[in-house]
Formats: sequence, C-alpha cells, structure tokens
Amino acid sequence: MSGNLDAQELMSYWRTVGYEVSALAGSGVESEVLERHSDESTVTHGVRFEGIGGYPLFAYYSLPREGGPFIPLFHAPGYGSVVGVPTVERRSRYAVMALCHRGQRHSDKFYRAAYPGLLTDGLPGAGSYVWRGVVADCLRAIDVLLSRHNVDGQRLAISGNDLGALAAALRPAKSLLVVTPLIFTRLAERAGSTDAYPLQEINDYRRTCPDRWEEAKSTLGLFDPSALAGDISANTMVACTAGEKEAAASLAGRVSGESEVYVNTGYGYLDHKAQEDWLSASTGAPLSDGPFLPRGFS
Amino acid sequence: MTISDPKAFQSSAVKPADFDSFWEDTLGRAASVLLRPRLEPMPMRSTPEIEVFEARYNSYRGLEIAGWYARPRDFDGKLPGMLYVPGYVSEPKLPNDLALQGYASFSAAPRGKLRSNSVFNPGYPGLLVHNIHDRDPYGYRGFYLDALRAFDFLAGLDEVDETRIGVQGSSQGGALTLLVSSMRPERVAAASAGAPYLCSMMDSASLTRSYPYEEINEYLRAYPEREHAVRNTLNYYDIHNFVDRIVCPIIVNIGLRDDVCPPETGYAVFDQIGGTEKKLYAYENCAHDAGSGVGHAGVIDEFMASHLAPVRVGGN
Repeated sequence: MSGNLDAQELMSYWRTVGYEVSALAGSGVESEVLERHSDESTVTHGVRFEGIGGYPLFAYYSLPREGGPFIPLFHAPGYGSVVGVPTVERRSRYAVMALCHRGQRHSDKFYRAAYPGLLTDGLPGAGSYVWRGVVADCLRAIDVLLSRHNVDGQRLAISGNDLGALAAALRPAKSLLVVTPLIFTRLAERAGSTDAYPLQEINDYRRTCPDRWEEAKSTLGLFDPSALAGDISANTMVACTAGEKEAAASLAGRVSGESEVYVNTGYGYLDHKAQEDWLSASTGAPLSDGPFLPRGFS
Repeated sequence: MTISDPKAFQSSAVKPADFDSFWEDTLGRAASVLLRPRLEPMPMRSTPEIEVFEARYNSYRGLEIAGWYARPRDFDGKLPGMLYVPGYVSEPKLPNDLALQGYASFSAAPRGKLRSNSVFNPGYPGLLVHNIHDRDPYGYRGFYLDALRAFDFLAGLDEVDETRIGVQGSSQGGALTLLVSSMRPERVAAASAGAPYLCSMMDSASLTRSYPYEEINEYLRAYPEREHAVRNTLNYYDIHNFVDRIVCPIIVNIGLRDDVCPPETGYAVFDQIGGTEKKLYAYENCAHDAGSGVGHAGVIDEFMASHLAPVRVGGN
C-alpha cells in the first residue's frame, strides 16, 4: 500500500461503497436460460441486475443441471472488453458467476471502457475513479450469486486477478485464487519498472498529467488489495510470474487466512493444473480432468 | 475423436474447387473500396523514444477499421515494418514494444473489435459462428479482408521499407499471420504464427470443449441439420487451405497441451505450409501459451531481427 495512505480514509471509502451496494439488496434480478451456452450436463443463464448509480449489469451464471448445493465461484472480470462464458471445466463443478463489469461488453449500455484508458479513467479523484464502480459491481455480483438457490453460501470462492482479492476483502470468501497478471497490487510502484500495458497506462498518465499525479497515486492506493488484505480470511493462493513474485508475496503475506504464493513455471498446462487442483482442494470441489481432453498420447 | 499421435492427425478440411475464384472475387470486391489511410497522433501514448498514432482505414463493404501505429521517433531512411494481428477476444495491443525494437509497427482491430464495431458487432462469443451456414455473408469474410488491408496500410506508408515487413500474432493472430502470409506471398518478408486458430476448424471443434471452438459445437447442437452447410462454409475459410501459398521464412509455435487450438491441427497446418524456410516449435506441457512463458518471445524477436534488420532505438 502507499506509505501515506490513511487507514481511516481507506475504511471510510470502502464502507461507503459497501453501503451503496447494500442498498441494492432488494432490487430485481432477471435471469434467463441461455440455451446456446447450455449442454446436457450444465445450464448457463444470462443474469441482469442493477449496480450502484443505477448502472445495468450482466453476468453469465452457469452450474450443473443436477445435484447441489454447489460451491459458488465468482470470476472476477479480467482487464479487457470480453468476458467469456464459464468454461465447461468449471461450470461442471461450481456455480460460476462471470460478471461483465460496467464498460465491458454486455454491460456497456451507458459506458464503454477503452483499452488502453480504463485503468486511468476518472483519475485523479477517488470519487470519480471508474474502478470504484467496478469494484462495487463485483460486490453486487457476489451478493446476487449468493442469493441464487442451490448454492452453498458458506463456501464462496473467488478467482481472477487482484480485483478478486479486493472483492474477497469485502465479502466473506472461503477460497481465493489470484492469478497473474496483478493489476492493483502496488500499482504505482510496479508501473515504474515496466513499459507494458496495461500498467503503462499509469506511466502515460503520470507523464502527461504530472500536476495530478500525487492525488492519482493516493487514489490508486485505495485500490491496492494489500491495504485491505488483513480482511481476507479466505484460504488464498496468489499465482504469479517470476517477475511479480515480490508483489505477490506482499499481498499473500498480509492475508489473514492461510496463504501461499505459486510462481508459475511458464508451462501453461502445468500452471493451470496446479491452480485448478489447488482450488479444488481448497473448496472441496471434485478434481478436474482439465480442459485438455485425453488424446491417448500423453 | 481420439488419436494416438498428434503428428499423425489428418485434417478433414477440403479445399473447394472454386476456392481460388471465391477469394479472387472477394479480393476484387474489397479492392473497389479505397483504403484511405489516416493517422492521428496520440501524444498521451507517445514517449521520448517512440511516436504513437491512432490509425483508420476503409475496408470491405466500406467499413471503417481502426488500429494503432507506433514507430521510433528518430530514424534515417526507411523503417522495417511489423504487422501485429490480434487474438479472438483480446483487444489489439498498442505495439509500442515493437516500435521500441525498431519497427514501424501496426496493430489492427478488424471489424467487431472495439473501435471497429459500429456497423458489425457479432460479439464474443459470436464471431466464429456469425452466418456460418453460408460462405458469402460469413463473419470472417470481412474480418479476413480487414487483416489483409492492415498489411496494405503498413506497406503503403512512406517511411516503411516494403521489402522488409514481418507479420506476427498468436491464436487468432497466428491464423491471421498465416492468412496474410498466404495472400500477400511476395510481400511478407518473415512471419511468426503462434498457436494458430482457425485451422482444421471442424476437427478442432470435435477435439475440444474449450471456447472459441465450443461455439461451433453449440451451434451444431442448436442446428444439427446445418452440419454440411457449416463444413462447406468453413472449407472456404479454413487456414489449412490457404497456407500452401506461403513462400516467406516462417516459424510456428504450438503447445502440446493446448485445449484451445488443438496441437494436432498445428502440426497439420505446418506440414501444409509452402516454402522451404520454416520451423515448428512444439512445446511440451504448454497449453495455449505455446511456449510464451518459457522464452519463445525471444525466439520470435531473434528470428524477425535476422530477416528484417530493425533500427536501433534509444539505447537498445
């Protein structure tokens, strides 16, 4: 977290967001079966609900056709315009909600996120920063997920980038899988050592708006999940590249629940399997055979 | 489909008898639309070393297509060019990294991508099966042309040496790399295709349950009676049927545990590639990353530099 971040300001900021989200508890949720994305053993719904500021949101919600109650798994949205239909691998074992946050496709009626641009949209002010609404969208989606029937609300799992960690600090997750790339963890500091997007957006902003940088940096500090990690009681894995190991360790080290850092080998199949197996073990879900169908030559 | 050796896989893609005439006709229709290349400086994304521009050009059926263009700030003579073509769901990247390597670099956003979707916007999922029952209105017809015209855009810039233009991308970008190299065979100087998508498409759908190919499975569950029509359409678009035209030096990388673009189809398309200077990198224990996490990016950089002679930028 930023060294000069005021703890009271931090708590007040997120408490206010929490109140705004809680006020939506009674608002309607519309759900329709998406036959195209359902199959013989799983069903996928398109779910529509309201986010803060009256913003209309969409999420995919997929789960097995039979059995339950299922472990609710929230997919924190990635950094890009497209959110995928939950994979067969996951929707056959969890009740998965994949949110399209404000600005992403399907949730872009009033606001379309720009890439690059989203990471700095609304800076420098903490009140105007677009990610305030995005985090609120995640919290709202989790509330909707937990309100679905046939889910076990005591076993909430979250996966995704460190936006998922922010959500886990503000909602009672039992399992948290944070995967690379990290976005908000020590963002201002890490941006200084890369020229790769999306972090380069921060450098672009700093270079072109130097007079606003200090305020922007303070705002970004509010979104550093490390600052809130003490409130994460979930069993946590932070999977990262070797280059992100230090930042991942700083996040994992502040989590109040059990935590570990998994440094990717760089072999995508092995890393994916290690992460999915960890999530299965943590949540108690059945192990996955993986998305790679047996071909008989392994 | 279960096979014992991915190298033994035989693609079921069949090149239609009128494949060449279909594409000649399609290219002719596109040629009637003037390219009208435009560049708008983007000071916010530019740095002391590179200049970045928002790009626009016109394409098939008159649609306006967007892209990003980045080049070194200081250079003498002409620059080598690098076309970067995007994946299926990802946004086209700002090609600043390629500009920093010394290339005039262009990153295209074919129709349906953000900034190019005001007219055509089938969404994701959606693009792969948009009008898939009919070869003429199929969504990838215009999309393929947008990629080809992105190459024309780059090659037409005064500062670009049109004898030194490379193409690269992964997944759908790998497919488009193969497409551009096939359809601009005398003009692409070097190509790198990663985990190529859109190869042996019907076979791929039966080899995986992962998206995007799962879109085909979903479509055929909804319209089983259209399987023949779908197969017929895809034969005109299957990258497997284009690549015998390739003559440039080319490298291809695949992951042997890739659930998105089955490795079987990567082997098959590689075998089909024309030309003699080609090399396949098959990575064990890699999925759709196809070696990107274990050093393949360096392989690409070295390969391109050896063929295109990029300029030095800053201290690089």
